Amino acid sequence: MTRVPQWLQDRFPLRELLERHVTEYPAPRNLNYLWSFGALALLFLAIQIVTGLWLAMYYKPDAKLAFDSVQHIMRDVNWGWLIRYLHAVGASGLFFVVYLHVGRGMYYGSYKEPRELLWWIGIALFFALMAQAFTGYLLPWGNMSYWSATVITSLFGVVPVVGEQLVTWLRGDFAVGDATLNRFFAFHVALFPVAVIGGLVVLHLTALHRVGSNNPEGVDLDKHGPDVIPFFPYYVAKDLWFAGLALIAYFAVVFFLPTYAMEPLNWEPPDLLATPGHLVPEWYFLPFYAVLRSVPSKPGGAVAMQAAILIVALLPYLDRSPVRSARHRPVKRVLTLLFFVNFAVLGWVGAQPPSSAGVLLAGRVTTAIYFLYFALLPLLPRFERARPAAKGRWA
Amino acid sequence: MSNENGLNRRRFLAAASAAVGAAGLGAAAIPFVRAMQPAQDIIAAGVIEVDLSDVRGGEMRTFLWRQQPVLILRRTPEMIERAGRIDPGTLKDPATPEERVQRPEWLVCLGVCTHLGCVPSLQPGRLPGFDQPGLLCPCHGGQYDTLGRRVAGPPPENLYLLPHEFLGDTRLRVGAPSFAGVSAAVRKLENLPKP
Repeated sequence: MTRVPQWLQDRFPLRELLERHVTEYPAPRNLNYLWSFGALALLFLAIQIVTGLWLAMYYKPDAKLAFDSVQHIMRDVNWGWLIRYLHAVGASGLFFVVYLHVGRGMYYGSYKEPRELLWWIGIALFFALMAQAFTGYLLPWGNMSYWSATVITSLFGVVPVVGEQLVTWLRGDFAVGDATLNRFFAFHVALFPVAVIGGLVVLHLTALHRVGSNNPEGVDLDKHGPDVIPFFPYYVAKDLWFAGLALIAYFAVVFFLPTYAMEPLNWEPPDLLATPGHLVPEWYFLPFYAVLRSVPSKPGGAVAMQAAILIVALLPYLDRSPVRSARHRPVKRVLTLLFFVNFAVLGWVGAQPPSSAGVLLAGRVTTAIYFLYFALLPLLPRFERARPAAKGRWA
Repeated sequence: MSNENGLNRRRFLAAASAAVGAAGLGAAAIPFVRAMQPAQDIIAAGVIEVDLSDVRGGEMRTFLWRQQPVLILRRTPEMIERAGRIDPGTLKDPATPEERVQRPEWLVCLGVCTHLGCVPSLQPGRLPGFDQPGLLCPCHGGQYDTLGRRVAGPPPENLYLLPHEFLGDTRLRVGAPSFAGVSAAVRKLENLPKP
């Protein structure tokens, strides 16, 4: 891996880059498979870019042509159905992987000093990813595409004073229409991929390589000591293996259940005069959608939804314990696992029609539990007896 | 297991994995490469039917097939007889009438001059410097007889043919699903694919 021709080496630091960041990059030797999800996220991002590029060869971002161009891809383009399903399922796959990646971070305290900046770059990445998914979802110009774009763009109306003008400016029209579709295409194909990849992923990896990976024990490791191993070949091999498993699951869905997470209403063009009875976003937005609906006021709901994501950025300061990993913190461990379960229940709530009182109550309770977790964290060091990390023993 | 064996085993496993991975990537690339080929609707548009009933003797019609101009010339008995008198051996691109037309009365070919691509027009009287009617290309003066064979001027080859099939006496089916047209550069009927 480090045999680089001298001509190239005199002009480009390829060998140094490979040595510093791959072949001699120190990684903790006790990382479990939860640490593979970052690399998996990069893999799924690459899949989305490649399949998205191919779709863009045939997709037409015009309100009169968009829906039919997607059908053209599904029916006439050679292997078009496969590329479309790879992209649609890949978006779900990317979010699934990213949620597990974030969950790992929350559980093992990967947000704590010195990784705060890394954490915030990750949150920025998550926002960019959500914007990417949201703009992408409008493109097929199905019934659900149209109506969810209408609902979410109208949320910007809660901004005081300029709210309504902001919504019109965002849409490029007084309602979601061709102008909106065309610019969402530009955002989805040019703006967010560049911002996500060119910008934030590079920043994310740079910050990571500065501070090094956390590990399940949460202890700081000597980067030249016996407890680190070179990233290549060990974690390259481990990640490749795990990627193989992930791809099996991915392709199983692509070939046998591609429409499982696809909203049936989106197989119809928009009906501008009739909102569907049951508006549902894609599954990965459901928890935040539930938070939005749990607060009875429109501005309150919008603020709560944003707060639900932004509060995660405060974790480095909310968590005051000197111990990083939940492995050694019995109370935080239970609370965090409950948080994850609650997140899933919040997701279920988001999928229910909002009419029943039981669902409304469940939404408010789960939203309260969600924020309660962050409120409780600072209090933990007062009564939690964290077990000290066992030195030199890797579970 | 000794160190030597372990090293060989590791090398073998790495090489085998890399080979399988490369094969996998190659297989994965196939749909993406194929997806850039013309889509099924383009292939399907490769076969069209035209109506011949309003073409009278001595008249020529042009129409578009796959964005390319196609000529149909209904040849008069005089045209048929005169073109038949030309010795194919004297032509720059030799071809006999049987190699050019299925029915002597109908010339069906691509209306793209084989020199630089302009659309030739019918000269029902005489071609300049030639004692027969034919096709004249306005751009550089290329001349073709009523079988579309090059008889004078810069064109190097006869007008290209495309697959066609007569449906009765009034309809003509033109083209084939994957036939490219001009770029196939077919000048003899036997080299054409079936419509």
